[in-house]
Amino acid sequence: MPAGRLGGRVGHVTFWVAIWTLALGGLLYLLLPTLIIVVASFTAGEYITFPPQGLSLRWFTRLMALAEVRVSAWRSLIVATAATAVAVVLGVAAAFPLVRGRFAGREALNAFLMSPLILPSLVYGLAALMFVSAIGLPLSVPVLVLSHVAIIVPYVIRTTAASLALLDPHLEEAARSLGANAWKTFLRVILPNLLPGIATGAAFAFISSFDNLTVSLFLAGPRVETLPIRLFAMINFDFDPAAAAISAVLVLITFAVVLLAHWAVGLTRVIRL
Amino acid sequence: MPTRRISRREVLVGGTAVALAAAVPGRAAAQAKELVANTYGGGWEAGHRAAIAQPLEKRGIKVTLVSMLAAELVARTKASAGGRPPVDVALVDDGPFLLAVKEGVFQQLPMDRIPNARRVYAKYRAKEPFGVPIGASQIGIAYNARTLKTRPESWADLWKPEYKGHIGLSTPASTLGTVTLLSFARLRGGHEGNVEPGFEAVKSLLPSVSSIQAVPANLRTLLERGEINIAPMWHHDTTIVKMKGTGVEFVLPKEGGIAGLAWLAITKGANTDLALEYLNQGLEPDSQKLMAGAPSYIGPVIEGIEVAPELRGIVPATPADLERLKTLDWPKINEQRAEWIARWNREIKV
Amino acid sequence: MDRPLEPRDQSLSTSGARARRAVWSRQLRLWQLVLPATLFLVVYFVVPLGMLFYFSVRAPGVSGVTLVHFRKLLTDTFFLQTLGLSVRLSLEVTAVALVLGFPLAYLYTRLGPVWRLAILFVTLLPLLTSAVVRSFAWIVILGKHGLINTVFIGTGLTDGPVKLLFTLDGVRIALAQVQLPFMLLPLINAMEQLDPSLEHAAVSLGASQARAFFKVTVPLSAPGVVAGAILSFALTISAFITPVMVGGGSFNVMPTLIYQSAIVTLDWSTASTTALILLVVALAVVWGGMTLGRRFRYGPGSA
Repeated sequence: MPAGRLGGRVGHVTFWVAIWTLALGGLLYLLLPTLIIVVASFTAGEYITFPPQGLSLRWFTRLMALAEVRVSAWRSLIVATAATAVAVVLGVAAAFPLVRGRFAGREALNAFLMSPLILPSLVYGLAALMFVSAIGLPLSVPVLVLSHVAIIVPYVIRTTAASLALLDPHLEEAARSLGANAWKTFLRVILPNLLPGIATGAAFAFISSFDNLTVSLFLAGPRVETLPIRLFAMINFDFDPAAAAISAVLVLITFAVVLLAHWAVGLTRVIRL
Repeated sequence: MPTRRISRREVLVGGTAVALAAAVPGRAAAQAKELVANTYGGGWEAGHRAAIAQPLEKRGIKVTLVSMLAAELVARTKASAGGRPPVDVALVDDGPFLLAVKEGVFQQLPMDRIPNARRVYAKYRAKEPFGVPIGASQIGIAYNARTLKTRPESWADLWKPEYKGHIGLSTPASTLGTVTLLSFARLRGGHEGNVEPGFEAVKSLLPSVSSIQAVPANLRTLLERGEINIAPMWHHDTTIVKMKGTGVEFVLPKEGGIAGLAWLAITKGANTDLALEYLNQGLEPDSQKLMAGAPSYIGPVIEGIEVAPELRGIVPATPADLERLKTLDWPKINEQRAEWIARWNREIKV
Repeated sequence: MDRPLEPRDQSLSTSGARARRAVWSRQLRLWQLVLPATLFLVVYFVVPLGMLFYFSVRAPGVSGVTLVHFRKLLTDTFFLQTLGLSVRLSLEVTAVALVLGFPLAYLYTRLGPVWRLAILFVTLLPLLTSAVVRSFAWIVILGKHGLINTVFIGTGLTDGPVKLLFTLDGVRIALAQVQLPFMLLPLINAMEQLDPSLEHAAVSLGASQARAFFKVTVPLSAPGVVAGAILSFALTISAFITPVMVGGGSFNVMPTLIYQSAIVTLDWSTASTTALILLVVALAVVWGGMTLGRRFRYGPGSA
């Protein structure tokens, strides 16, 4: 048997080498484009190049002077936060019957609820503008938020449904048989297990709304410029390196948020213990 | 405390002034004057802000500039039929302008209320009074003088072997690509009614083509990075790239350039009075001169505007420049454009 | 452990009419939870699209409903080829994202907090740059003088530059990168919910690590795979900016055809017909994927 065991060990090593190679390759692949943009944003030159022509913070300085960038970034943050909040409520609720329920047309409904992701968003942008104009609604931030909700709610539904599909129904039965009522079961047993799925969906939803150009291009009123629209103006006729600097700032903020989230989650674990 | 008393008096004086101003009818209305117009972003936005928005703001008209491309703007205006139009004043180029007129989303203009429209070169004037031109561009050849030793002189030079693998083109889904196709057609005896020679010319050029772009903005990035080194391009886009010290130069081919016009039009449902002021301001000599310089480099549409020496012959401005500039029959182009795009989709592959 | 998981047993293990009634009433309440999202989408998604899709059954000079646009497109080989390309491209991109995402997600569940944090952060990166800005990075990476060609030529792997930018391969690479997060996070969630002792048990019973991985972890993470694959497929088939910016104008996908007719030539009949056909075909693929995935739902009878 030693040969077999040796073969097993070789197989074991091969397996982990393969996993690590693919995983590190994947990480590099995810990282590289953003890295290039961030490095290029430090260029001292007049236009965006890689490698950068000298290093400077001039495009970040310019960014700080662009008041409209700050205003539009703040607006995008508000729109994305509001849209995500609504989408999470609608999406999490819808996920339960879509996974657990038994009713006619459930599969069709399940597929239907994905259609906002499948349709190129310019089609929805056009359609939503026709609709809003026809019923005489003025273009405003709430209208923009609702149109974002329509295109981001599928993320929440899908990721929550995936978590729910993996949740052991025995867990709930156990909780119920131990005397917990429906709400208590939901809050103490179901929700904590679904939280990663909901958080993932919310993150996708938030970023998609924050980054949405096409729908906003059609549904943002004249004084409701969002960050992607501003970015578009900065790149479209002339690639302003400050646009790359915006990406660098977003990367920095996200890094802070991830750290903070980690710290907060760690903290809740400590408290629960 | 004395300081407090002074400040209170200031408030009083200020308050009275505001009350007085409000009592005078014309002034009060001026506070609420607000206008929305689109620009294309980048140099266009800076040019319009300095040349049109700021002078109007001095007269009490607040201008909000939104960034939207011509085609998107026309689609958006069509979709918002029945509601408020997305802008009061639309900035659009030839193709989308005529498409929008056909869709009936623009107002017929009372030309007598745009006194400056009389200054516009006859060659540039609209056939129907639905818009005024605000700037002229010409399409020529952009090439990188650092990487390419031979300067192209004519459209026909693109077929020279030394440019093989360096050429960039645009698809007719963009105005630039449509004009490129027509300039190739004209080179070989074609015209708006017969674009066949244009397609043949593009096909024969394909072995030299490095890339074809649906978004003209990409051509600039590619030129800056040396991915392509020669391409048919608008003079103002080329000048922006040149001014960054990239070594890119603009050549007006000996056959002459082809003109593309940017139009200002007023949407139905807009604040017409204010919009007319915007149009008129855009045609003021001072405004036209501002837009002809950095960072927009847009050709003036009225006579008598001097451009900077280094821009002479590049930014079309003088009657002599116009003499060499060809204009296109856009109504005829629009009739066939969908067909050309479909044909290009099928037949032109790199 | 070799046999695939059974579909979930239709009847719950509880018996008696009272229990069944309780289950039935719970189902009724469950059913109602889908209403807010559905009603919202009907009012704010279906009705607007209905207004646009109205153009697809109307034609100038024809009174009433006509199918002329559908007939025209569905008999057009170029259109059908483009539709086929869009579907194939989206499936390929999803497959690449799955192959790269699965090992990364698997490793994530077995690493310490610092690694996890790093993976999470790197996963979010592609989503933080707008598609237009990102296309600049792809020009730098894939271009004639780009990073990949510098490495290839420098190491003598190829003699001349490989054409990647503005090719279908370049678009595959760029799309799979931005879809990877949408694949990765649902996979991580699914694997986190798995009991690691299952795989340990398989190994201690004599299965090789690879065998345990393919026979235990892979099938049990199916709900994550389905969620990630559906998101990635849907987002790829509707992607517009990346195919245009990284693909140049050398080929078309459905969203570029829609853009041309909806925006450039204002032919909303063709645009909405194209969009409707795309929607139906893509929904059929998604529906197929969901049906396939449902076979792997958590099943108490199969544990």
